[in-house]
Amino acid sequence: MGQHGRKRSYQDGLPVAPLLVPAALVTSLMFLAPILVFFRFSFYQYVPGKFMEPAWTLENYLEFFTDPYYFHILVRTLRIAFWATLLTLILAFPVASYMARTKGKLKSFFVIALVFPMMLGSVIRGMGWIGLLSEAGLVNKFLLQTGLIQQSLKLIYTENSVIFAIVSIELPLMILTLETVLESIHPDLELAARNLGASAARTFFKVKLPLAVPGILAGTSLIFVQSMNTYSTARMVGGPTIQMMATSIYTEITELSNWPGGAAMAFILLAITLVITYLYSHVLEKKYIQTMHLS
Amino acid sequence: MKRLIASILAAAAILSIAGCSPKGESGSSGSSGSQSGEDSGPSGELVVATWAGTYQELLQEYLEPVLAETAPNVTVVYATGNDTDHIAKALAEKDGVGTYDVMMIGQLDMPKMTNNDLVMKLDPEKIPNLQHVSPEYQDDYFVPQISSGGVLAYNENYVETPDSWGVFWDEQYKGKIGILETSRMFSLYMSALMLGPDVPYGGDWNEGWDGLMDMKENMDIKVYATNEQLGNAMATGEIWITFGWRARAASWDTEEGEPIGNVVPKEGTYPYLSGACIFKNANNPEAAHAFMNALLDPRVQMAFAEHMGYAPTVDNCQLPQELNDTIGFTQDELERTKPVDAEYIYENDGVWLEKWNKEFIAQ
Repeated sequence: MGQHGRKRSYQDGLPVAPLLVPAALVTSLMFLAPILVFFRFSFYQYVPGKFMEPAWTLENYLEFFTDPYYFHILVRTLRIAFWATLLTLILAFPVASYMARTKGKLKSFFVIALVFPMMLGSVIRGMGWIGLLSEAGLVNKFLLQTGLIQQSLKLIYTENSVIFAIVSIELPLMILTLETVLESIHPDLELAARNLGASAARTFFKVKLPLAVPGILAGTSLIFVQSMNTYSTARMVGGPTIQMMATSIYTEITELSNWPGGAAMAFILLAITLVITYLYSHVLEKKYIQTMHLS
Repeated sequence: MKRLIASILAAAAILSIAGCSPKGESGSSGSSGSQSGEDSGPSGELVVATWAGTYQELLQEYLEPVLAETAPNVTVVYATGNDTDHIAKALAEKDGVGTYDVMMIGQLDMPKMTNNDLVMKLDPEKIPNLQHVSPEYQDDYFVPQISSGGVLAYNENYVETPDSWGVFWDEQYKGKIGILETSRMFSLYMSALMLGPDVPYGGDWNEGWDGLMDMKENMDIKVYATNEQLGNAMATGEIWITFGWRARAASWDTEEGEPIGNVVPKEGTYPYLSGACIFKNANNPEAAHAFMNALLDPRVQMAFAEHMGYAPTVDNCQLPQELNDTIGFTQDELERTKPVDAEYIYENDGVWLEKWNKEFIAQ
């Protein structure tokens, strides 16, 4: 066996496998190990007022599914994540389409304008929403002073305020994700469709949208997962009354010292998020492949 | 290649020095003398779990210079957050190496610490200022630092001076009452107290739940996540009535905002005492005791009274009359201020918190 017969795990000089070791080690130690420890905790016995005792019990999982309070929180989390993702997609698509056709300084301006808000933490933006939407906030003050309303509106600590806050945080990410895919769609394809007599709407739904599916898939999956797991936005804009899964897990662990219950909830959230994301991606990807074959 | 190896070795040496230095100072016991051996006082790092904001700033600005007089080689590090977060972490670390040395905590939360065997018994000899603490505040595990009491706060422009907690059920104030998300204990106490003076004192606090649910259904109560949000809502007129410690209520009455008054209603109230404890697995118990002593220094006590409105717990700190009138309690009010049973609260609070979150707070 000479040089030619030897299996090589690299292409350009450096071997690949050793380069993966540091990242694999960090991931295992800092991510997988805590997850495994927490998974074990989810089967422990919760002792109210104290902490937990080692056990193998499904009680924590059963309680979640049998108590309507937790089920209600799960449904609300799914609802908020769904609407936030859909709204983000609808608002992001036109901007991303326009950006995809721009060049030079205008494009740079768009990218900077989109990246800039991402540098602010979600807590800071949450504070901004409080300043805008609280009863004594700017929006209510403006509406009261212009005489459009007589009494302050309840704009904050609602599901809708959480949805809008999530949309505002996730919008730049969705635009940038969509833009990279839309940019790769050749403008001649749309022109060809229009030349052949297709209306603008038909061109959009039959040509542009199907071709943009990979971007939509990546963007919406990412936003949905982030929305399902949102904590600071839910806490600040949803307030104490609009509980979502992440805020509820925090309460279980820190306030009740119920680590087993919190751990079980965290794994239920993880499992549900993974299953939904997988099914959604799988179905949409299948549809995309079918469309591409048909065309 | 040689240059590369030399660079790596140099970096490793720098890292080892940097890594050793702070730990070396604090040491595992934390009770060793200073490196120079000039004095035998406590030294090293002292990790204090505390609330963020003004509270921590005051510790930094007023306590640290006092601490430096007796423990100049101690460096205080603040771990800021909620007490519930700190307790959760301490429980998780109970059988291992602790992160914190000292924790700032309310007295009513102390049974959670003692029953879970998290805190150490204090050595009074190392806290000479304890002699100035009145006997009813003395505790083996807890140093009382500041005090106040629960009051009914109201907007003087819209509410006539109330004399009863009953205003929380008065429908003319519907939509104008706010409470703090974490106020389950006081809410339940108040509701139980409305049923009779003995209900929260030896009776069953759970009898108060019906009143709370009634309040939720009929009064359109607003729930706030933080004291700052609640205070802001009072100052801007978003709400007119709430309850809180007098220290907080007094701070909401500013020249720029709405005029906020506060009273101890005829049914009574309970006092608030806050202070600090030392963790059993503290790395630096010597410095922790020095910190406890500094907490009781009259200069530190005065700073917390002037800047946060909490009354002193020591007899050698006399407040100016004007300040005392704002944050102190009159004899008449003190007679209506009775402490509650912390052990009873500890035994029931787990269930109350769950019920509070699921039935009262949740929408």
